[in-house]
Amino acid sequence: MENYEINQRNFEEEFTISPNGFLFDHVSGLTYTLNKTGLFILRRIGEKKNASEIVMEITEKFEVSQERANVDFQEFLVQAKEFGVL
Amino acid sequence: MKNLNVAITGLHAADSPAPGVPVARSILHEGKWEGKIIGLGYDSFDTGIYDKGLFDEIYLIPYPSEGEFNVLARIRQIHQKTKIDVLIPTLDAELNSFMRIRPELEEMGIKVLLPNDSSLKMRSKAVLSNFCEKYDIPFPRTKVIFDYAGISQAIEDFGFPIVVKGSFYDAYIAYSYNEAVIYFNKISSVWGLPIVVQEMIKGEEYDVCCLSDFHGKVIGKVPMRKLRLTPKGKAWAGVTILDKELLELSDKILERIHWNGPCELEFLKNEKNGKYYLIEINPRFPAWIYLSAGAGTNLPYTAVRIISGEHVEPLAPCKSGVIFVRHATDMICPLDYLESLTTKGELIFNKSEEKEL
Amino acid sequence: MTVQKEYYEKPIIVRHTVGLTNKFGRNPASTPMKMIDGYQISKLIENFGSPLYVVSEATLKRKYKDLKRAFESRYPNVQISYSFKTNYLSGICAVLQNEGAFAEVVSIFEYEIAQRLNFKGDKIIFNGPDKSKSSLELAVANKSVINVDSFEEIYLLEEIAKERNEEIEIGVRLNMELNYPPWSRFGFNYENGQAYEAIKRAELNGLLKVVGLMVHAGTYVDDVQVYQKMALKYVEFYRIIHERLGITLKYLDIGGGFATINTLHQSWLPATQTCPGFDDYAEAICPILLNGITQLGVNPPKLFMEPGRALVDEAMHLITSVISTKRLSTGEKGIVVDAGINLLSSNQWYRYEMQVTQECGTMVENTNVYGNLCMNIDILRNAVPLPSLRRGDSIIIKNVGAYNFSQSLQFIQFRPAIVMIRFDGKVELIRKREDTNYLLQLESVPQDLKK
Ligand SMILES: Cc1ncc(COP(=O)(O)O)c(C=O)c1O
Repeated sequence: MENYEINQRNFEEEFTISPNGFLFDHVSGLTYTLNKTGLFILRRIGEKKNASEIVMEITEKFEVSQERANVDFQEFLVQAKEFGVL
Repeated sequence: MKNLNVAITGLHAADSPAPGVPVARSILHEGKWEGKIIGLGYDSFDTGIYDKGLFDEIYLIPYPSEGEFNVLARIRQIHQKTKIDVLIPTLDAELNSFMRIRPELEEMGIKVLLPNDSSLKMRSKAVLSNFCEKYDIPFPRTKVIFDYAGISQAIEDFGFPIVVKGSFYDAYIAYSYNEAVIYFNKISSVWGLPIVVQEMIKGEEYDVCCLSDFHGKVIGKVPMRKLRLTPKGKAWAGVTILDKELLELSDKILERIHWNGPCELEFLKNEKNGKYYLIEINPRFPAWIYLSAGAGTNLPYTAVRIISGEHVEPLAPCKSGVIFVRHATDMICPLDYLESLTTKGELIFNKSEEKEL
Repeated sequence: MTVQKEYYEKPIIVRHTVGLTNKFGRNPASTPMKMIDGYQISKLIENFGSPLYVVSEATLKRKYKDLKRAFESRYPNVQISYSFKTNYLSGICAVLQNEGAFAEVVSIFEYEIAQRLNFKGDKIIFNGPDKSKSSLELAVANKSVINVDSFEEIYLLEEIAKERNEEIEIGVRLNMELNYPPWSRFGFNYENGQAYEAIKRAELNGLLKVVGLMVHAGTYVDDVQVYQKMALKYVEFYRIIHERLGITLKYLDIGGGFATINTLHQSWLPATQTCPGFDDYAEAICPILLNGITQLGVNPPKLFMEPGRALVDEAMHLITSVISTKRLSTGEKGIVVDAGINLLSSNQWYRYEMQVTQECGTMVENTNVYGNLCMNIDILRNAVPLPSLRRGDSIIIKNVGAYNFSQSLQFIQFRPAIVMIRFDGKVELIRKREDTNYLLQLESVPQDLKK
């Protein structure tokens, strides 16, 4: 599995992320909501984990196949990049 | 009675202010309130949410356009967390759904004071002129229209300017056909059809806020002359008055329409003949209702008394010459508020903490 | 030791924008509707494919019975006549026939459907602006109820009466100022006296006898006052023709037009809050007719009604599956489903209710639902609050029974199969999915062009 290419932001300084899935971007002033799995992924990206690590963690924690988790993960990245979060 | 939990809708006090905030302020005006004042909002940026010290708890609810079942389901959910004793809806567009779910609300123990179906229909903008004709109440000539042809017809009959109104909200004065078309489109794209067109009556604007009990008896009236208007015709300053003719006319209207609960009668005093013309009946408290507390006839507070089952005799007339001036201000609020509202749809204030903010 | 894993939802991030609807409490579109009349929707798709129209016999029967009860409890002599054009699937017509409905048809094609279903001739009402001489001959021979729409039809019927050497009973269609938009193109105008003239003319030669009046106020009339006005005008008109022309009517026909719980685009409130019930309509019509007519000193004539929408709209649903998901350049979310506007023509009037049929998570996002037609206009609905769907998931578009099937067409795609969930819970195919042979059977290629 290839790793993802993103514009890695400084999560500590630039984001406020709440356990409920609320995200405030201090640079743009925009706000977002993430669902449980979205939040799970974003946190791990913040921890600089690579794609296969993240997908594996998803399948360990949630009831989902690796293929589906991988497809969804990639789609999530596209979405987050389009929004400028990553 | 002061230990009741009162839920109030309509928290957005922006350029066309909703009455929820002044209703809450009026209730709190009569000394310490031991129950909770609960705000039911539609959007995390409903301004009243951030007016600290007014509400104990805020919950977001679905728009009435989402259907009454969703509204009911959400209220049930809130009621399980925080018992609601009394609910006061303050927006026109909500009324239909609250009237429909009234039996379920009452079954849960939530009390409301709402108009009945037929009086609500009678006051709707599209048929109010029929009502007025029947009971000989002066009223501007009105047309209910569905298309541009209706605009031309109205212009031919009424001349310029004409008033273009939506069936729920919004009204504009048009001085040309093209302008009328623009307002027609603007209003119908948001509030749908039909559109109501009226002849323009020139004169001073007067409002009377009234409160009737469960039996249709008028318990209180607060008449007010508008002193300052916004470009949209909203009162930005006003003064209580005492005009017997206006009060008697209001009584006559409410009696004929068999009203229950709060409403606002809007009049224009025609400068040509000095008569009061009924422009609209709004089925709720007006946004200037805090004036009623200032003038010694606190109608929202009285409404809670009535709803809680107290027997209330008609109130003495309000003090005339009491002025209100509306004032817009900015409030500061922490990011947590927005976080809680957008993710959980609720905001529970810790009242002692706020003092320090 | 195995740990119980958590329920998985497709990961999503939603940007907050002004007016982003806050849906607290679970949004209805994200609550799966897994069954219709107790039958698993997933099973239906497995067995009959997607897209799929599903008819509920139970709902059809319930609607019919409810309408009948509402009017029969207020008027002595009521006959429901199902407006075929609304949905002339034979299976649907047959259910209503078995409940006791007459057939109301406006074309020879529909007349023939009714005949094939063995509707007796006198249980067919023949309306509409396009009646050929041969179709009128058929209707006369079968003793069907004929409501004339124009002077030309009066002349045609006189010819037929002469040829058959018998008097023909007819009804006259009126139009009146009732509501907006007026249906003034059909029949003869009441207010300007044309209707009166038409009746006088029809009876002039002693060949035709006027025994009925018919008005159809329009379709989706959610204001009962319209029917109240109609009843008042009917009474007044009956008084005039009774006194001046000595006419005694056998029937009054109030047409169709009752509204349903589907919400019109132009309406801000959902129709569940504004749509009158059958009792409200009946209460607006029956007492006025009954009192007024009794005062004329004649017996109340039979009351025909021709509901279409009100009987079938809520008795049929369209199930369609997601082909792909899109994020548009505008940031909007879109999904492409396997049913297009060719199957849902009434989406130009209605803001159809859409709901998922399987668990897809609870977080919703406004989603544009596009059809599969490869045309930009093929939008089933914009900004439906839907949860995150993936290819193969399906949604149900509810209450599509009126006009969608009868106005559906094949545009690059076949029309889907139609099943009926029977009253007893069994499922029956009532129309097969179309195929290439079916579609091309009427065509031919000039011989010299054939390869
Ligand atoms: C003559 C006649 N009858 C009945 C109907 C059925 O109307 P609806 O489906 O609104 O009940 C129509 C529809 O336009 C009609 O034209």
